[in-house]
Amino acid sequence: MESTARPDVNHQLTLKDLPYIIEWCPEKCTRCGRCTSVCPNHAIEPAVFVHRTVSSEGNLPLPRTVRTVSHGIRQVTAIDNYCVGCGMCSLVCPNEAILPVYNPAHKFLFHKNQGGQAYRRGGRRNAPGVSTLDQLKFTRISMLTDPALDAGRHEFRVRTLLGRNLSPDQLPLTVSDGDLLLDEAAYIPPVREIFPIRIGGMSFGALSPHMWEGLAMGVAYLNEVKNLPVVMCTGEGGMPPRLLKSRFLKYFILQIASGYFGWDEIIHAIPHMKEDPAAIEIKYGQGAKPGDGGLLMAFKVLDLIAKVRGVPTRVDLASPPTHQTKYSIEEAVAKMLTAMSMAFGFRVPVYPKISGTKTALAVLNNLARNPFAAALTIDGEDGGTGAAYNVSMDKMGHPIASNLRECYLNLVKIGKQNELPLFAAGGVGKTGSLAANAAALIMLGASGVDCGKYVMQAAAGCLGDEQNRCNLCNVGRCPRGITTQNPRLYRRLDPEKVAERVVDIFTAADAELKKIFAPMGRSTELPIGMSDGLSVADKRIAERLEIDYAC
Amino acid sequence: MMAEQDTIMTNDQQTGTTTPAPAVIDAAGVYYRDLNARLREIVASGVRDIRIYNVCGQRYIGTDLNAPVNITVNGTPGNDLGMFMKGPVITVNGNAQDGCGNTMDEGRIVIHGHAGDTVGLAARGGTIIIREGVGYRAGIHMKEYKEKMPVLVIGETAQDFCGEYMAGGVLILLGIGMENGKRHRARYIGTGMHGGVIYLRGEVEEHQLGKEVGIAIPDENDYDVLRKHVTDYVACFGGDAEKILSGKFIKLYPKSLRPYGRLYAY
Repeated sequence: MESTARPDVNHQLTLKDLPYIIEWCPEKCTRCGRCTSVCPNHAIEPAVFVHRTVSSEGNLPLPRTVRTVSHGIRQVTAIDNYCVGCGMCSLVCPNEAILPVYNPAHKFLFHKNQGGQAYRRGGRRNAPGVSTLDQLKFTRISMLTDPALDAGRHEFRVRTLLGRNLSPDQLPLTVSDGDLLLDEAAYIPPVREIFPIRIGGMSFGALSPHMWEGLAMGVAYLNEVKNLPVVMCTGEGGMPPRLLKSRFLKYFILQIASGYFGWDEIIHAIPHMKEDPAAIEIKYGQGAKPGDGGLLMAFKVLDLIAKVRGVPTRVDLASPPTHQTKYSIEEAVAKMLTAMSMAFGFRVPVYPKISGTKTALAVLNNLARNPFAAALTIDGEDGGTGAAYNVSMDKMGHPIASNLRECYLNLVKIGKQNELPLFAAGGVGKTGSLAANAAALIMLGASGVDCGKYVMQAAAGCLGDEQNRCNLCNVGRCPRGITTQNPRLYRRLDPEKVAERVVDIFTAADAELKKIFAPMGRSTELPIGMSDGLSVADKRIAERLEIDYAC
Repeated sequence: MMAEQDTIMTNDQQTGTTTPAPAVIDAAGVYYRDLNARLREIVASGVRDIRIYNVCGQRYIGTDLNAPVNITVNGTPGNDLGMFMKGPVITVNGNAQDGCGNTMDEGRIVIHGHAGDTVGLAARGGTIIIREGVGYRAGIHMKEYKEKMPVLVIGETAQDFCGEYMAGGVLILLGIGMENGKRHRARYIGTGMHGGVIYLRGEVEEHQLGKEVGIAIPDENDYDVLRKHVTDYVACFGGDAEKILSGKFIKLYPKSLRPYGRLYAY
C-alpha cells in the first residue's frame, strides 16, 4: 500500500518555473511585514522555518539534534499567486532585504493555462529588443547645402492638423472684383491645430480617478500655460461630467466604441457644452488586441463609473469585438461618421481608429471618398491594454511602420496626402524614445502619433516592462493605483504629481522634436512624409519602407 | 426647393401670451442636413409642434434636439431617427429605417408601421413604440441607470439578436398577429445580455435564446410594467389591452450580472 505520508510533489511547481524569483536576505530583514502586506498577487507570505542542526559538544562524537525556529518570507509557488516582479516589496522595504529577480529560464507559459484558462493580462507586449521605429535614423543633416536651424533659438511650429484639410481649389472660394469670397453655405470640414503627439485613448474606468484627473490636469496645463496644444483621447467610457461641461473640453477627443459606454453623460452634457470637443474618435479596433473587444469588469463598475456609463453598478461591461450594428466599411462610414458629425453640428472632426491590419488600405480608400472623414488613426500591434488574452497581445496585429507607410504612399498616389491626415500608434516610445519614434513616423507619412503607454509609464511610474513585469491591469490590483477603482490602491497615486510629469514629458518631447527637425532645416511645417531624411541599416526594412539604406 | 411655412407668432386672445403656431415643413427633395438645420432653428425659435411632410429617407431627423417638441413625420424617415435626442416626441406615419432611437436619452418615438435593424441601439432612456415588427439586433446595448430606463415596445416580432448585449431597460415583444400557431422566428434572443429585462408574448423555443438568458414566468410586478406599456401601445394604435395581456408572456432576464467574469481576468 502506498504511503499517504509521502507527498506527491511531482505536479507542483518550483521557483524556477516562475518568471520572477524573490531574493530575500534574512540578515537584513527586520520582519516588519510591509512586503507581504503590499504584494498585489499574494506571491510572498510570512513563513516559519525550522532549522535542524546536528552537532557534538565535547571531544567525543556524540551528535545531538537541535531544532531552532525562525520567521521570514517565503515565495508561493501556486500558479495563481506567481510573483509578477512588480517590485512593490523592494519599494516598501526599509532595508533592501527583498528583490524579485527575472528568471529567463522560466516555464510560466507552460503552466499558466491550468484549468483550461488561457493566460490573460493587461499591460504591454513581451517582445523585448529594438523596434523598427528605433532603427530608423535621421540622416539628412543640412550644413552647407541648405541652412540648418538652431533648435534652441529659432521659432518652430511643431503643430499638425487634425481634420480634413481641403486644398485651395476644393474650398468654396471665388474671386470677384479682386475680393476673395467665401460661400458660407458650403461645407468646410472642421480642422484643429494640435501638437503632433496625442495621448491615446485610455478609458475613465480602466484608469483610476486619480490617474485620469492627473492626465487631464496635465493636458490643460500644457495648453493653457505652456502653449502646447496637446489633446487627449478619452477612450471608451466618457469622462467626468464636470469636465464635459467645462471649457477644457476642447482639449479632449471623445471616443465612441462598440459598447457606447460613457455616452450617457456626454449626451446629457451636449446642450450644456461651453466648447466643442477636439474631435470624435470612433474606435473599430486597437493595436494591443486587434479584433478583440474590451471588458470593464464588474468590480471596477462602482458608483461613479456606473453613472458616467449609464449602467447599473457591479455588472460586467462588455464592448464587443465589432460594432454589432455595422456590417461593412461603407455602412460604418456612412452611418457613424455622418451621425457623429450631425450630432455635433458638423463643427467637430470625426475619424475612425482601426488596428494595424493588411486591410487598412481598404478602409483608407473608403475614407478618402467620404467628405466627413476627418482622419484615420492606425494602431499598430505594439499597443498596451488594460485586459487581453496573452495571445492577442503578443501575436495579433500588424506592425505600424509598414502599415502606415503603405497607407501614406497610397494617399500620395491618389493625391490626397495633404488632405486626409493619418495618425499612427502602437509602440511609440516603447523603449523610451518618444520624440524619435514620433518623428520617424511623421517622416514616414503620419500627421501625428498617439501614445498612451509611454505617457502612463512615465507619468505614473507604471511598473510594467517588456519582460512581463507586473501586468496586473486586468484584475484591478494595480500596485501603483493606475488601473484600479479600489480607493485603497489609487490613493497611492497623487494626481498633481501625475500632472507635473505629463507636462515634463511633453515639454521634453517638444524640445527633442526640435532637435530632430532643426538640423534638417524644418521649422515652419512638420516634415510629414519627408522620407528622404530617413535611413536604416537593414536592407529589408529600407526596401519595404521605401527609404534609404545606410550603414 | 424647400417649400415651408415660416413660423408665425400668433397672439392668444384669451391669455394674452404668445404661442407659436405649428411649423409645417415639406421635405420633398430637401437634403438631410438642410432639413435638420431647419428643425434646430425652428425648435430654437420656441415652436413646439412641427409637422414634416413628404419625408423620404432623410437621416438623423431629430438628432440632438433637446426640447419637449412634438414632431410628426409623414413618410419614411431614414437611418438614425431621433439619435441622441433628449425630450422630443416623434410620431412617424410610416415605417422607420435602421438605428431608430440610437443612443437616445429622453423622449418618445411612435412608429405607425415597422422599423429596420438596431432599433433603440444603446438607448439611455425614453420610450420607443412600434406598431409592427422590427429587423435585426433590436435593443442592442440598451443601458439603464437609476430612474433612466429605456423602454422598447414592439407590436409584432423581431429578427435575430433581439436584445443583444442588453445592459438595462425593458424590451417588450407583443407578438400580435401570432396567435394562430405562428411563433417567433428570432434566434439568439438576448445573447450577451447582462442587464434589463425582455418580455415576450407568444411561442418561442429555448434554443432560440442566447445562452446568457434565463426564463421566468412574469409575476405581479412584471404585469404592472406590462399593463402600463400595453395600455400605452393600445392608446397609440388601438386594440384590446386585456386580450393582449391575457396571452402567454415569458420574462427573459440575464442569468448573471457577470457573464464575462472570466473573459479577461484571472
